[in-house]
Amino acid sequence: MTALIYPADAKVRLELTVNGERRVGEAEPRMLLVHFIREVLGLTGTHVGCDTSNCGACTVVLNGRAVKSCTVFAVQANGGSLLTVEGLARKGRLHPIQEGFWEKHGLQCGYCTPGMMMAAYDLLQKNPDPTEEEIRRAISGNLCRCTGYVKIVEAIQYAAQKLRSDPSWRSGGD
Amino acid sequence: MKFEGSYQFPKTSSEVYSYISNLRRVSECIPDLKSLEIKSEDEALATVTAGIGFIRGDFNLRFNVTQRSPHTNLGYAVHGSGLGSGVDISITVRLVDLSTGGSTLSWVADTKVVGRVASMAQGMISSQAEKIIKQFFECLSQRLR
Amino acid sequence: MTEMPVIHGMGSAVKRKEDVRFIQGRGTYVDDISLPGMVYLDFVRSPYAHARIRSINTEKAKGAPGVVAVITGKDLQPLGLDWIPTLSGDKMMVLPTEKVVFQMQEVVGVVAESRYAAADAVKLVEVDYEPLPVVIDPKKALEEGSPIVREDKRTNHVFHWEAGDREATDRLFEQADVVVGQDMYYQRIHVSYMEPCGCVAYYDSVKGTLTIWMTTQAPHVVRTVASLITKIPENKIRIISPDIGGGFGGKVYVYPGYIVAAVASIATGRPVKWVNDRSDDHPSTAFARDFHMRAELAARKDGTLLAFRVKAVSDHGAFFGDANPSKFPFGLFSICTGSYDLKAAFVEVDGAYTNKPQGGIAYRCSFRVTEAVYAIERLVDIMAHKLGVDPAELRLKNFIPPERFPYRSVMGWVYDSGNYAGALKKAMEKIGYEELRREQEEKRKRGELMGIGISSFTEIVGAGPSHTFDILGIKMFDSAEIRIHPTGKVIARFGTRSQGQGHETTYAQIIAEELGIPIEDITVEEGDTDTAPYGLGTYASRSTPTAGAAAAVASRKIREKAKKIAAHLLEAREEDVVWERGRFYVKGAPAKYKTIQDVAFAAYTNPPPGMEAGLEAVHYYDPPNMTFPFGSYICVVDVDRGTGEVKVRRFVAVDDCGNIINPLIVDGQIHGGLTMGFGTAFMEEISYDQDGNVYGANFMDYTIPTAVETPKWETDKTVTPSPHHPLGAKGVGESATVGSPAAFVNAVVDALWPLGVTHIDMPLYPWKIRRLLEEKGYALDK
Repeated sequence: MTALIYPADAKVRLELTVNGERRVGEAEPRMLLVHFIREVLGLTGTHVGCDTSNCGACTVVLNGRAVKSCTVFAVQANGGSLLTVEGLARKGRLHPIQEGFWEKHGLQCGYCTPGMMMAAYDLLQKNPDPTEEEIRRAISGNLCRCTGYVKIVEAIQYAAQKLRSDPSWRSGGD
Repeated sequence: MKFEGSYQFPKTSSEVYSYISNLRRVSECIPDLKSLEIKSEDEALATVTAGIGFIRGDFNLRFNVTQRSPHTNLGYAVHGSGLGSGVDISITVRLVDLSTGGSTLSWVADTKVVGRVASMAQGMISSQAEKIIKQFFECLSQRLR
Repeated sequence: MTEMPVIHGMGSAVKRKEDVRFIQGRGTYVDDISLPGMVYLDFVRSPYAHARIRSINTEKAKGAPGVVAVITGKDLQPLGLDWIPTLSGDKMMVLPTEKVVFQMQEVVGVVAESRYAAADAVKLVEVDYEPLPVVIDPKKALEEGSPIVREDKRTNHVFHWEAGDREATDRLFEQADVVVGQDMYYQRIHVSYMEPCGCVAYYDSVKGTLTIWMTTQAPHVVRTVASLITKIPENKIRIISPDIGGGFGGKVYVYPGYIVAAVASIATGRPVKWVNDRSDDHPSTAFARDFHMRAELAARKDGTLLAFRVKAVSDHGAFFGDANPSKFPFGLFSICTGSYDLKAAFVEVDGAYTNKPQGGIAYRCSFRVTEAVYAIERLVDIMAHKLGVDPAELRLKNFIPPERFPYRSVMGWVYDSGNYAGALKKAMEKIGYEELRREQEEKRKRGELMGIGISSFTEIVGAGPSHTFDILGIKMFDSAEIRIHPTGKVIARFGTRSQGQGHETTYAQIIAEELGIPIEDITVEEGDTDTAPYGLGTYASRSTPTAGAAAAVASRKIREKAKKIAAHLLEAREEDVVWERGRFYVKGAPAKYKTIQDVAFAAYTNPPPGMEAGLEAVHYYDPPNMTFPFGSYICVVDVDRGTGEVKVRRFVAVDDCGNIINPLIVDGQIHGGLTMGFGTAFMEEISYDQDGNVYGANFMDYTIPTAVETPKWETDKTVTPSPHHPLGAKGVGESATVGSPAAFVNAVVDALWPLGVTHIDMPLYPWKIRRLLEEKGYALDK
């Protein structure tokens, strides 16, 4: 891994693939990826819930792995591939994770939900048939204050089952 | 937080007193000094780099001489701010002549730290504050030998 | 009769309508709002809990790149905005001119082109403080000689409040065979909504209008107060409460950021965004609880509970800002006689100012009912253990029996309906209570610590009847405005504001039930004061009891008019027209009907001669009484003798909120509330050292439950409708947070009772339990 070194007042031009599309934007070296996503790319589905990397509301999938975008600099995503909540649905069809959250009442205020779903996405990529304990551990970095997690677990179980049985959602990249 | 210590010098108490009651001389011993402005014989303004762990940055200090009782007692007050925090140190110094011809300097520093540094680094404050204050008196004692 | 449309009315576990945008990341929270030319507001905050401000030097900050404005208290003073009134009739500083009164208080506002530039400039502001003595303990604050927090007051005494009959209570205590008493501290906690507080304020100088998108649970009250204090006419102020990421009572308070953002917008002519970082939000916005009490319970030796008394001190920080109903400075604490037929009770509470932020009423407390239920349910358990009686038995013996409802408690509340024994018995059966007690006995013989805790709470929600309730003089009704379009679609607006409770679905379900219109055809809006009818907002579980009722009554007004139109269309007399969920038909001839959609169309195209066109109604509902949801929770714990860790093995919650609108949503509310109670009982706490430094001021230090340790809640219900509510429904949003902490603590104390433990203050950290075990010689080291 090469080090990224910039002068503090530089304006860095970033090019990356976001939800399957080529996007270009500018960022100061110290700009957090979450701010780049929200303010430069205009994708406000990814949320900021804390400033100590604890809450996970900012979770996105970068280069195939879930990361907390508040703890990544925008420049680190340069040339990479980013998946945010806005990229889950395909051609107007909700992703099974989104469906699961809706069917099972896995959200109330909706603020933690995008991050929670991206963490679930990451889990189900690696582990298509998780136990309840594995689900709870996979979302342990995502805090929710409304739901008490029971229905979030049910939502993810629903999604897991749907993904296993519906080949059209077998992932191609990201 | 209260810290204390004492030193012995081969000099008399009035010699030691005359040194440590001189603000310009004493200011030279402020640790991690970045800039210094002597406003009067009782007040100096300084900027220092300080911090605990990863919370580092510039602190603005106001250093006052609050009490002069030649040649036995001296009082300093240090008031600092920076890094969303505040520091107040009240120092009392006592000088006593020894029958052997030297003198003893004993000091007590009453220290209060408030703000983000205190909230986040509470476990480390005590040792860090003590370290800095001791550094100050070490420096003074070196110059007095 | 041809098939009826599926409408998803009352009782339907239908998926939520609002979810569509949230699952696609298309919610509109305050920080999602971006306006052309928008600038960002950040604050310089005080490191001192109490200090005089000697000087503020803003020169470097003003000259920093991107800085547009710097605002101090001295700038607000000529506008009369350095202090503003609070919802409790006290006043609070917006920005200080003389001194700061709590750590992290806002001192200077810095406005810049980007949030990064604003944060940089904040560091360049130099404030010279002269520290003052700090008062942190509310009991010490009430003592003679304490430092005084407020220069506009002579003491730190905020209020003295009493309820009940002191003499009658003391007499019963003297006569009683058994008296138990306990000092208890309900620790300071924070709602910890996932979305911090913030706003976007925009003053349009051409139109003379001030628009504020704000994280507020009560937009109309904010608008009225804002108008009074800024002198901007109320019709020129628009408060928009967009999607809110959790409120829980913490977003009812008015924070300096809102005012400074508005002033900054007026001064700069640009929209100003202010959003708290978590580390700013947590230690400066409304906390909850911080309540020191001594509670005592008196009984006869046969286990009949006689009387209850509480003497307490409550911490209110530097400003009394609670949105209390004005006659109740300590909220509805007098519900503390709980589910029991007590003969007398007396409570007295003294509020104190301290060098801490404002707060106290928040975190799903139903106006201090969390404190009340904790007090009575802990004492009932202590009494049971003292008498050697099973805690379930003692409760069953003393519950108010169903035939006594409506029941007037000795504190004057008239409980509408209840079936306490039914709920407890159901919970006991579901958890296998007898079996668990047997297991506990066996485990005790082997030296294993297992505990069972019960909480049988009665809640009081739905503030409230106009004869008793008002906030700053505004009565606590709530409203619904429903309009049917020509093609039979509906728009409905309310004076409440959901922050996750699902009103877009539940209110639609109520209207669907009343008007027979499918919920897909019903749009529900809340939160925009330009369009929504006046309401007091959503908190204290009041929405279903007030606005939900308003929806039902407004719908019925519409149905009355619709019936006349239907009679006209069916060419029948009004008395011969029958309504059945979506259609009107002629008595005895059901094939001859008109749907509500037919009627709606006719309201605009073919109304009866002389009748006003349109099909709509608005209703401001004044509830005749509060509603009293209740429940029984049973918790089973195993305590590790080595680490002191408590494992919640099972938790059964049986709730009764009357008739249910949407069972999925009710379950969600209970799960969430139980998780908050769990966090309260085991891990959440904000504390202060004697210099006023705050600990637990961010999400790293303040622990809230994650999916790993949160138990798998088991929920069930009984249904005891409210006799006075148009739908027989009661509120439910806070029941679980109100009722559960006592269940957790009762369980742990039950486990440790044989060791001589009668009480442990929350949070029940493992180290606390471990230390206790060591004291009692019961800790294991292997």
